[in-house]
Amino acid sequence: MDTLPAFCRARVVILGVGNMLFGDDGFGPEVVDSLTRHYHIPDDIYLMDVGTGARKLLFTIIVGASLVPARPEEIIIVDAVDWGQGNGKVFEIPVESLPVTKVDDFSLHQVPTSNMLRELQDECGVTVTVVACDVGVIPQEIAPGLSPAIAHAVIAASKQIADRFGWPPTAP
Amino acid sequence: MGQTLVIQPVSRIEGHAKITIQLDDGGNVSDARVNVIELRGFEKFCVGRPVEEMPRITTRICGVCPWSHHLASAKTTDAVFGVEPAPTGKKLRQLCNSIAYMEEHILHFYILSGPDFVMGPGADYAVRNVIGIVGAVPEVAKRVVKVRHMCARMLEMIAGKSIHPDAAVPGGFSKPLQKEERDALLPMAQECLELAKFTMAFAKSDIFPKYLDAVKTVGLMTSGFLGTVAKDGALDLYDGKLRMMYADGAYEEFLPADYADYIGEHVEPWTYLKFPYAKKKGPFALEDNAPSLYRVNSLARINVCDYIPTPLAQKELEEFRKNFGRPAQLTLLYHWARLIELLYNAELAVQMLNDPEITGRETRIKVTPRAARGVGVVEAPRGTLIHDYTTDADGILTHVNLLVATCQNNSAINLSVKQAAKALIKDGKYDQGTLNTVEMAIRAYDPCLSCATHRLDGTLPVKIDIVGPDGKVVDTLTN
Repeated sequence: MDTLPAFCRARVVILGVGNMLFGDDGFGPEVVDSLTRHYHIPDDIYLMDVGTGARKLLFTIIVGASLVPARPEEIIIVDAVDWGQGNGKVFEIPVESLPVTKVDDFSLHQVPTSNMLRELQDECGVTVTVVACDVGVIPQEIAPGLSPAIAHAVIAASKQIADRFGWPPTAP
Repeated sequence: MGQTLVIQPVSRIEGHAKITIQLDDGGNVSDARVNVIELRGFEKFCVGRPVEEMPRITTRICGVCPWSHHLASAKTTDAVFGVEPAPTGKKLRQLCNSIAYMEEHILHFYILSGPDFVMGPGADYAVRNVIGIVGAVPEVAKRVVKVRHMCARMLEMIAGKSIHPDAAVPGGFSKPLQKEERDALLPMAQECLELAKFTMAFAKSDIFPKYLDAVKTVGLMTSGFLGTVAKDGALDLYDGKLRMMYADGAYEEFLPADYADYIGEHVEPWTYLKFPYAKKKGPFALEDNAPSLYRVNSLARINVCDYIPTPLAQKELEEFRKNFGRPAQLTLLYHWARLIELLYNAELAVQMLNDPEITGRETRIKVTPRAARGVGVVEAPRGTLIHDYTTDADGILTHVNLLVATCQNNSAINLSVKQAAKALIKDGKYDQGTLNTVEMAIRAYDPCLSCATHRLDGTLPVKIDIVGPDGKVVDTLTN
């Protein structure tokens, strides 16, 4: 029996990052859910709603990828950002253009910050793509549920990812 | 008016998690405060929901220690429904707890704290990171990653998934373990045990001796300790009674349901996070050696237990106590205690997989809603975690209270940072190594800085702002 977890056996890993208890911060997990429900996903693709636990998983992938052949070819991070507009616009962010200020693995309780994503790409040979949605301000108290604009963005982001890989939609 | 140093770690909600170090006119530390964000609104969100949903919902609080919340919640629902879980179901929960612990402790030692020790706190961040560890000790890193992979795989096999688990249910565990799965898991657990043994020996020969000076000087404080022990006083991370041991070694014990009689919660105006304290020892005081001050997490558990019920970990406990006494107070010993716990969990996982009852077919029992209060406690890797629910006759939640581990170490983290800063910053002189060493004092507690939302943009790393008497930033250090 294989001793590698599923996320290390897949060719492409898609991680939905965010906390669905905090409004539009649930964008990433909702995209993963939407892809799973509405598209035929090939077996070599691994989708995971990682909530706020992305760093824990990425640490394992980074160390693993730098030492053993158990590495995905590509990791797609689907995440919410607050870049000032809050308009639900979905866009890809090249890892190179992420801010460089974050460089310390201070705690697990952080996002897959830019240093980790750079390490994955530059040191481990894993292609990293960030699919982000500008969600604006996230509530400070628990308030689950997406706003209408971000719920719409979930559909757009799912289609964008599915089209890129050529995944057919499931029957309506 | 003196200067203010602000060390601001990345926070998912900007500005809520930071360290402020106040210097007096002579450039020496007069005060230090750590602000950590608290998850807000969770209790309110839960009220009105069916209690059986809680083991699934609570994993969403924190992506780092979901198993601890999951198991504490499942235990609390058992108490609310008034049942003892099916024996096999209980063992499967304990097995998952042991594996999750191994995953956490390995990660913390080798990847979060490891760079501090392997490369040294003064090293540039360009090497003081995960990749640095791989470069410095590649053969060790290979074993580490293999076992990390195995821990995740083991949880997948037993529980279906390792993040956001839903296998523990009121009354037990949702699925039995097949014999062929057990046969596949056993060699993996044995390999985990080999790494745990190696790690303990490696740390004692290559790591800890180099840093004994730091262990004896960084983050020093004297306090009591809280942890869970079995009926006979043995270390138990899943079940038992709570033992509050005071600095002089005397202790009192209480049932989890009575925690509010022994633990008070103090509020300070400068932080959302509360300050739990030992009620029976007088009022709250944010002072070293205050009678009501206590700590949780690995060192606390190693201190409060009478013995460890697995042979290799017990041998390490005896050596630890011979070297550092009981209760041991040095803050950086949290790392050493964590490795003893790693060994214990690895031994326990192997033991449990060899127990024929682990593959029993009856893993859960039926539960019936009722009006009741239930309290469930587990030892999370970061310390004692308490869930407290009350339901009406239909099993709908009417009250929820969570007392999380980092909250219980709030006073200790503040005091250790203050002590570290005082020892390191003299006459206004500081450097990058100062910042890194202050961080080490915090990292010893492995705190949960935030279980709420997050940011992708990576702004605000660990940062010291030096603010002059006129309020202007005169210098900034970042790493």
